[in-house]
Amino acid sequence: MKGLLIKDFKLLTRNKSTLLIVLAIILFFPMLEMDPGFIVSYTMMILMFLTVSTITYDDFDNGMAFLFTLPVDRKTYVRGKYVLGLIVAVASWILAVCINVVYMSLLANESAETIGRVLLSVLIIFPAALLMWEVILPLQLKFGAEKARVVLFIVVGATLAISAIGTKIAEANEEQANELVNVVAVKLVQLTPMQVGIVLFAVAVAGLLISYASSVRIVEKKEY
Amino acid sequence: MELQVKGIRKTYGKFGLDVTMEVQPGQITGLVGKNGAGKSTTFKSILGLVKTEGGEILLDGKPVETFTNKEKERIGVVLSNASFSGWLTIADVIPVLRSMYAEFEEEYFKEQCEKMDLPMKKPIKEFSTGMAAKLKVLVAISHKAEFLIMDEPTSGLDVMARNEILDLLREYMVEDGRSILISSHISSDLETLCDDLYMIDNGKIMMHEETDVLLANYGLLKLTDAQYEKIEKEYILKTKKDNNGYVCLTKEKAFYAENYPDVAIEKGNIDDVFTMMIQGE
Repeated sequence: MKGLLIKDFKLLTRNKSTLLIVLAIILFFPMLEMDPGFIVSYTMMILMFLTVSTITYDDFDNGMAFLFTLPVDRKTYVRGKYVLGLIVAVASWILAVCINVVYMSLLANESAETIGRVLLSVLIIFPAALLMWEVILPLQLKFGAEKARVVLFIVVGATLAISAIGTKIAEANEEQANELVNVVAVKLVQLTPMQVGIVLFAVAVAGLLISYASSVRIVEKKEY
Repeated sequence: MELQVKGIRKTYGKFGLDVTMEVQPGQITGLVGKNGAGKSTTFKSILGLVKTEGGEILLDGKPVETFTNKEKERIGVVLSNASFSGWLTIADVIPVLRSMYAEFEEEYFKEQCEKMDLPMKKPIKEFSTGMAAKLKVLVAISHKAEFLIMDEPTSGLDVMARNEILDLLREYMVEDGRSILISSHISSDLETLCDDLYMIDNGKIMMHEETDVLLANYGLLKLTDAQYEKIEKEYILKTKKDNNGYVCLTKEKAFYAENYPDVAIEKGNIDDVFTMMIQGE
C-alpha cells in the first residue's frame, strides 16, 4: 500500500494551483476575520475532493487495469484510498485549526473561552466533511468521475424532493407536524455541542465502515 | 515459470472465448490473431482483470487467482492500452516501484531510461508512442520477474523502437527459467523471437506450432485447376480458390517439392499461414 500512497501523493501535488489556493485561504482568510468554521470546512472539503480525484487520474487511459497487474490487489487499492483520505482529512483539519488558533491567540488576542468555543464548533466540521467524502468515494469507484457527478446530483435532488414532499405532508397535517417538531426541537436543545459532536463522530465512523465495505465490493466486482 | 491455461471461457454478447494453451519454462510463446480475435481477453483473464466463466489458469502449478501480492512480484506485465497514470513522471514512478517490488533494479531501470532517452520529469501522457512503449517494457522487466505477460508491446512502433524492445526481451531471457507470453500482430517480431506460436481467431485457438517447424515445413502451393485435380491432398491443411486456380497450405512442403517439381511452392511466412488457416477451407 505504501507504493499506492506515494503514487497518490505525487498525483495530489500535480494540482499545484488548487493547493496554492488552499494554502492562501488557510494563511490569509483568518486575517480577514473570516469565520474559522468556513475556513476549516472549505480547506477540508477541497483537499478531500482532491484525494477522490486521484481515482480519475488512476483510471485515465485504463490505468486502473495496469495498477491491478502490479503487486496490488483490489482490497489494498481501496484501503489505500481510504487511508489517503483520512490522512488528508486529519492533516488539513489540524493545519487549518492550528493556523486559526495561532491567529486568534497571538494576533487577535481572543480570550481562551472564545477560542475554546470556536474549537468546539470546528470539531463538528470534521465528521461532517468525512460523511460527505464517505458517500462520494464509493460513487466515484462505481461510476467514474462523470457519472458519479450525475449520480450525486440525483442523490441531492432526491433528498430535496423527499424533504419537499415531507413539507407538503406536514402542511396537510399541521397539528401532528407541529407536535413532532416541538418534541425534536426540545430534544435537540437539550443536547450540548459536545454531545452533538459525539453523535456526529459515531455516525461518521459507522459511515466509514459501511462506505469502505461497499467500495471493496464495488471494486472486487468490476472488470477492467 | 510455467503457465497453463486450461479451457478458460468468457462471453461478451456473441463473442465467446474458449482457450487452452501453455507456456513452458524458458520459452517465449506468441499469441497471434487479428483485432478482436480474443488476444486481450485471454491476457486479461490470465491477469484476473476480467472474471472467466470456467476453466483454470495455473502459473507454476498454482491458480493465478490465489496469487498474493508478494507472488505477483514474480510477474511482469505489459498491457496494450494501459500504463501508469499519464500525470505521473518517471521520477514519480521510481519510488512507487521501489516500494512495490522487493527486487526492483533501480540502477538498471535508470540506466535503461537514460539509454533510451526517456525523460525523467516529463508527464507520461506527453510521451510519444515509442517512449511510452519502452517505459512499459522497462517497468515489466526491472524487478527480476520470472514470467512476462505482454500484450502487443510493440504495437504502433517504428522498426528502430521495435528492435530496441525485442533486444530488451532477448536480454531478459538470458537468465534460466524465465518465460514470456507475448502477443503481436507483426509477424516478423514473432518469427525472430518466439519458440512457439498459438493462433487465435474468434475466441478459439486455431493452431499451435513451433516457430521453427512453421518456417521450415509449412508452405503455400500455387496450383492451376488441372494441377489441383491431380495432386495428393493428404498433407493439405487448407485450400482457397483464387483467380488463377487454388492456393493450398501444407505442413509438408518438402513432400510436394520432391514429388511435384512443376508446382510453384512458396515458403510460408507466419502471416500467410495464418491467413490461410482463417480463410481457407
